[in-house]
Amino acid sequence: MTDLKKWLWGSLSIPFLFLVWIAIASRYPDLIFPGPIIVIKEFSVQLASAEFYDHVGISLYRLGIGFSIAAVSAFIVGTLAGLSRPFRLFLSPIVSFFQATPPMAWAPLFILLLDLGNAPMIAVIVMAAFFPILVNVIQGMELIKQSHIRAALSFGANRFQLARYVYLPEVMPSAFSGVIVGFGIAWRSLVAAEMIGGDAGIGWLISTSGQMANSSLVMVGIITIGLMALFFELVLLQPLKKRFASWAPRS
Amino acid sequence: MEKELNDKLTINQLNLSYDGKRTIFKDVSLNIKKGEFVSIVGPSGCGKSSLLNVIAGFIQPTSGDIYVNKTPVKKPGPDRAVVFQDLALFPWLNVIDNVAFGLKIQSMDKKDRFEKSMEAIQLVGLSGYEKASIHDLSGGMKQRVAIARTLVTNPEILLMDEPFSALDAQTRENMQDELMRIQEKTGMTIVLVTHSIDEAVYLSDHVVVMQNGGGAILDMINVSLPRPRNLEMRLTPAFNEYKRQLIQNLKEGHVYKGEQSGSGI
Repeated sequence: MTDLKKWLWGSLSIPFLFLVWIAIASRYPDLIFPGPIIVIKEFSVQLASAEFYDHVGISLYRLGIGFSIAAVSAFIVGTLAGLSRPFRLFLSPIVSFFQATPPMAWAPLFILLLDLGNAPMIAVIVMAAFFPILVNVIQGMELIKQSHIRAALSFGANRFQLARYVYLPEVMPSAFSGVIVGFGIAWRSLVAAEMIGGDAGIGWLISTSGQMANSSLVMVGIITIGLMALFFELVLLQPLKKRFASWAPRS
Repeated sequence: MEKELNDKLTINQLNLSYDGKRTIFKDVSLNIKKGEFVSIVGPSGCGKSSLLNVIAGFIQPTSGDIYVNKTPVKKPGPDRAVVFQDLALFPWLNVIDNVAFGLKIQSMDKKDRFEKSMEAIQLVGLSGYEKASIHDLSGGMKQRVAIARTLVTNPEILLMDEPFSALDAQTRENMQDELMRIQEKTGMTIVLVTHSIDEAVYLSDHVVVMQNGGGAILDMINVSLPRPRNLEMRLTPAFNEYKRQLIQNLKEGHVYKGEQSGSGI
């Protein structure tokens, strides 16, 4: 299929969504489930209000800090686990346990421990993103071919060169899969955590709007979450993946 | 065994066993002179690949010594380049960056790196594919990249672990001729591990036969077919006589005593 054809099929989904939306909205009163026109109007009102940007900004701030902590620490722990089999075996039950628990389930505890505000939200994000990235980094380390290491050694590579020219590039595709999965889980968990225990942020905006029966603002919040995730995926993650991991046959 | 001046690789009473009991190979001694082509043949599990890995320095022998130019070697080094069975090309690098890898490890500056790599790429007949991705190359072309990658650092010895086993018959024959042409040009010493007796006879000055199960050296045969060799030689009675001799030795499985064959290695 040509790129143009792919693009055409992809772009067909937008009018389709709008049609389904209009069809459903026509069966309910505007106050319960508003149609696209009302929501777009509300969107433009929100885009002109400083408060809306504050909520988006605080969610992004939490995401940025939490995700960075998770990614860096998962990369370090994953690399060490990849190098040491005993450490890997030690980690395995811990990883399985935490991966099975929804990150959101930790939110009440984090709020009790860390009080309201940014700290418990960041903790939820770290919890959500750390394990998927860790698992993928460990897997990437296990996939490193012994012959690649031996080839580098036979050229006289030292430990630093081995890490820089073999381990790092070879682990990148797996690590990036982890980053993309972890990012999706982290973003969704953040919004959910903000809804139950936040004092600000997009999730908080949605839940308070719902309590005040402002369904069009709820819709604005949902659309904002979706569009931002799409933006990160297309503008940040995919180009980075293309740059560092495009050589991998699995994608 | 008297060490001569042009001894390139000397292997002395080399043994490898795991946990003190499972013997991989035993009492392997070889003298290989500069510019010689030596093949190691033997059934699966005879320890021939392990022997190559020990020579390369990837595995430590249980006992015995290895010398390159009379200097003992204990770990991997650029004096012994390796072409791996799976080639071990780096799929995240294009052709020229794969070829230049060894020079980058040696911290050679970019311009010299480029020139040397281009030279090696030309030598293996891959000019025009410098920027190609490894994924886009055919099996034979990947072989050429793997060989070019070893050539850039001017190794003393090229160790090859069944490099052609994944190729179709036609490509395999082409690569064998290529390898002989490259050796003639570079004067490199080559040690090749192979399953194919035909390949061993065609390429080698000496063929080493290893014994099944705990690999001692069964026999060593000098192949004195003239060089340059060509495909037609494969049909001559002399060629087939060498093959017959090797097959016989592999079948009988008697242990070789150094004095009997009088081969120079």
